[in-house]
Amino acid sequence: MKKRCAIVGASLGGFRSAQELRKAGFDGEIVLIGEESHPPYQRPPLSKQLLKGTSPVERCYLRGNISEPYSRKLGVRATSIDPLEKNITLSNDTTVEYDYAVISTGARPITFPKVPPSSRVIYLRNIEDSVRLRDQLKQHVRIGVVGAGFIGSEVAASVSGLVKQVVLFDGDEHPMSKVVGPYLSQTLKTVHQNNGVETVFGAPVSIVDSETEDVVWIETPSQRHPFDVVVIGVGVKPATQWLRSVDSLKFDEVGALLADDKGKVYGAEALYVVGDASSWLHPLYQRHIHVEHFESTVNQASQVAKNITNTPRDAPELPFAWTEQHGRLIQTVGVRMADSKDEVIHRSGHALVVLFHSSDKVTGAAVFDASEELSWAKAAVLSSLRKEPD
Amino acid sequence: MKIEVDFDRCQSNAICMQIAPSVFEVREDGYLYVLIETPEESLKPLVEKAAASCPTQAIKII
Repeated sequence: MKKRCAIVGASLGGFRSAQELRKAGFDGEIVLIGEESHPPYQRPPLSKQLLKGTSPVERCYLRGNISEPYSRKLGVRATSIDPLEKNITLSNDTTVEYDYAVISTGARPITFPKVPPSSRVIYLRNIEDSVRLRDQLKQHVRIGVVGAGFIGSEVAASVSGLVKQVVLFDGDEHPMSKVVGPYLSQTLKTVHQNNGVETVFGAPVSIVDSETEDVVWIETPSQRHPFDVVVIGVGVKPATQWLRSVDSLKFDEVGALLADDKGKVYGAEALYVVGDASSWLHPLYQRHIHVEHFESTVNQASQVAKNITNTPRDAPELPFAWTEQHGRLIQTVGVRMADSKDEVIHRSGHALVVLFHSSDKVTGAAVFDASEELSWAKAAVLSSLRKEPD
Repeated sequence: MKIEVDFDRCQSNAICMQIAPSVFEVREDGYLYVLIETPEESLKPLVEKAAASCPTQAIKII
């Protein structure tokens, strides 16, 4: 009897898990379940090339096929799981039984209370959100972007020049400061300003979207700005609510499902988790780390497939992320802890690397517009993390 | 030496093409093409530099 692996979530983590299972020799049935009706796609272009109109929707679709026996159930959502009976209930009241299951349900945007998504208030997460925003980019349009993390900062950069006005708001003093630290954050803020993005930072923001008015207002304690379109990117929350009724599962403080260093979920047999919904024990950090980036998801999919098929797995990799804004590239490796002491290093020429120090270790690094320095930064982090304490 | 590109990860930044144009080409259609999948050893330094410099780390040498 062939085994069946059910994969819940048909985006990057889910599709890659299916591909990696085949690559690792899994010849059983694969069932891919996803609530979106698109073929599996990746999200990095949604705030960049797709939004700017330089890439079509098709360019977001993931490449490759999954060989038979393989079935897709798209447009349906998993509503609950029974890890003891090993079955998953779907929103169309059907049930999928499994021998192994991979959770890859990703995350959902955090929403402002009383500010639901509409034609002019966009929480960017899906292809539809990106296309809806793209179709409104006209020279007379004013766009307000709330939240200067990865998504908000990229959106502001992508639409600048395509619209009349773009204003980036954040309660922090600088963009992406938690991820890249204050130094690069200040650099990035200047890059935004030099490229036509207005910035309003360091003040709490509220949004007023009233049907009786032609504009959406973004308000800070001292200012009030009218916009034709408002984009909100104030972070995401792991889409794990549907698992909460299972008492044996454990979640971290943001709601990510906890798993060991091979992606096996604690408190359940043959259940694995990858991507934005997960928080894996990372052997190099000896703690659980929740990462919301492409690279980690892809690596996790490969690890889980090897785990399921008992294939020797690769050495653990450092989290990696990149962002491109106004033609400038920022790459990060590892993690920047909340108590990080940042060390700014000027490498050859204009190359800039920031090392993140915490508890006598270099836990991560960011590289500004100098991808040739990434290997050096990565090696600095790895050697520090692997070093035994004195 | 064999070159493996993760084409989902690749965003066609074309840095690799600038460094090793005999091996990597980003064409008009916006996609990267690997011209030689198993380049000879003399190209190794260039290919390694291209892989290390890739903004999205999409190139692996195996």
